[in-house]
Amino acid sequence: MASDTSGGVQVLEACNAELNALLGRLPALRFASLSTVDGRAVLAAGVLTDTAVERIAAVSSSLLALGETFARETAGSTYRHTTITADDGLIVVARVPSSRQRLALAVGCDHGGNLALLLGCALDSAATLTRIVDRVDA
Amino acid sequence: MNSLAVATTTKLVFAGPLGAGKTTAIAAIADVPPVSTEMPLATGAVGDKVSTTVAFDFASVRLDGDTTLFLYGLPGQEHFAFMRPLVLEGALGVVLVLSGADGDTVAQCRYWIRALAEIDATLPLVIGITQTDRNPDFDLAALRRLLRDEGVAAPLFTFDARDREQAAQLVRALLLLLD
Repeated sequence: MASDTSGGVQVLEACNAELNALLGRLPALRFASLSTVDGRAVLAAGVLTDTAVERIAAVSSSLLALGETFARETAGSTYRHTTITADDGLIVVARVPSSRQRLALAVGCDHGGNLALLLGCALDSAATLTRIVDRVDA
Repeated sequence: MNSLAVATTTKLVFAGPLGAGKTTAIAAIADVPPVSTEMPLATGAVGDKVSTTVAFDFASVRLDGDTTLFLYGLPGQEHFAFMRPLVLEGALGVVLVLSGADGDTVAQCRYWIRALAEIDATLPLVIGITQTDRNPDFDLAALRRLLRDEGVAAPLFTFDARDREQAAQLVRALLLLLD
């Protein structure tokens, strides 16, 4: 994501604000990661180390690509999102369908969250991020 | 105890750095177009490359009878190193693909043979070097010296990853090591 122009900085700041606002929507949310589809971290919110941010970005990319491939290979269809249920929480990886840049959003919550709310928040945020990156008024 | 009868399969993995030709080689050998997890490079094109593998490539080749060769390709970029032990699980051998066009083929070779050995030091290995025609200073002897210094006994080839027969020759060489 371009950050060497004032416009690019504004987009980054707006995306950062959206990630932080996302975490405020549900008490159970623990992290949100915005990354490129080839696994490079763009932004992250939540209690994450730099190493964790990089690793989440890489794994999100792999999950998104595997999900896209699996949907295409098995159903001849278009991927939407991946959900992961773990012992201590839930994770959603979704595409940010911007026309300017291919991005992935990963959002995780602890065991206090439920999948419907997590998915709703993640997909709403992906839509907001799309509008920001595409510079379309919300 | 009932058990599921499965066809005999042989899993081989293609490893190596970005742009060496792993995905290309697998596609050249495969009976049908491989499963691909390519994504566009966010940093822009690297030479001719505009995309990169972010999970793994997969293709199957039926050798004879019930024997199927499963070919997997690792992503080359370092931030996908976590995929290596996952994809290498159950592999019988590795084709290490390196680019001779890189100015640091020897360093790349050293890095990858050590990285693979950390995961499984017993895996048979064949090394294929692509794009040597793009580097007039390419030195195969330097690679042989490296392998000797590292104590690695691996067949070393130059090949065109786009050529089915040349890519298949590396696989045959690896299969011979398994016998």
